[in-house]
Amino acid sequence: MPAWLVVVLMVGSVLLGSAIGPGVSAAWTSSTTATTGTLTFASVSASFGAGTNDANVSGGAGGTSYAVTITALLLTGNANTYTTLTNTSTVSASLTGAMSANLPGLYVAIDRCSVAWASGACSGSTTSILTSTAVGTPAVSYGTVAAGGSLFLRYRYTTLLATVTATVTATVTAASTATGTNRTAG
Amino acid sequence: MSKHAARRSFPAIPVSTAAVIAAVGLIGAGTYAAWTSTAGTTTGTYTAATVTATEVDHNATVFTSAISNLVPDDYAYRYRTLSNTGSVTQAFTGAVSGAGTLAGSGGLTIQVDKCTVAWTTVATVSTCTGSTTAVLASAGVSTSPAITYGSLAAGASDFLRYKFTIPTAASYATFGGTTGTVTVAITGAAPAGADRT
Repeated sequence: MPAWLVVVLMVGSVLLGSAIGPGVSAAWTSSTTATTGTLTFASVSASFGAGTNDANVSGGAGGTSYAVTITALLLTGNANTYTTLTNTSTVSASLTGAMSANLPGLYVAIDRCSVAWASGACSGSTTSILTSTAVGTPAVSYGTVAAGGSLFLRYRYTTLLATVTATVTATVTAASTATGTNRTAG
Repeated sequence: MSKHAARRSFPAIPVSTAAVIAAVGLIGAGTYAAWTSTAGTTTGTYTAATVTATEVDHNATVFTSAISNLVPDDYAYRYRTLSNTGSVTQAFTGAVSGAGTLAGSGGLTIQVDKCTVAWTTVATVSTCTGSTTAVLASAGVSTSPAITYGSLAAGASDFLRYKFTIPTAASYATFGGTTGTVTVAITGAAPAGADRT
């Protein structure tokens, strides 16, 4: 073997050894990695359904607010709108709401039926949520509703004025009532 | 042309040079080996250490199980056994990282404790019948806390309990419906080289 080739091989070996050195130390560690499953935070929300109305009421599309227009409401009469309010949260939630109208002198009473209202009648049991109160005065407490649960509501409007045409809007806010627990089991 | 003139036409080869060539020829034929002596010995078998580790579920929990509908103050335990399956003592450390909004600032926290024996569960309550040591105090996953598990002799195990918590102050406005995962990467380091005479 030529001497120059021997020299080249020796130098090459030294350089190769230097290159291997840093990597070899890494081999003297062990490693193991684990990732949790997906952890998901609850969500809270509530929504009105599309309603049905008396003849002198219009509107009532669903969502987080429910607005209707009442036409020619008489002093001795009332106007009703029926809708569902659903807890669309993934946990139980307390539902509260507010109401507003574009003019004063309008009163509202809210009742719920244990089943869906049918043609203005409740074939189950009726519970008062709000006795007749001037619109805009109090907050409305709909109570605690399980995740996915619905309330079947009737809003009954009356007035102390001779004849009223008004727009009324109900809004809802959901707040979780779930409390922290040991979720090791899922 | 005379005979004398004819001899002078060949290059002259000194006698000494011829002798060297002859000597090299003899060495090439093996004569040189006869002028050395050899004595051989072999060490005992030197065996490189193995540096390996495992971490597996125990106590009926699964690290990779998902949990939904978490609310503030919820928490979950995951039990893991960290074993030094190598042939030498290793010092174990861990790196925590998170992914997803729920693992962000103000979200998931992680805490690690270890028991000297395997955790046991009776009537859904897990206990350590040996002694418990805090490995990592509760820390936000988003801070990428470093875990120091300590040293484990070859063949030894640590019985770990990971606790993941949703902080009290975690708001639905920030985290409602969001998700997150937590990754724990454990490294075991073999001891440095030493005089093994």
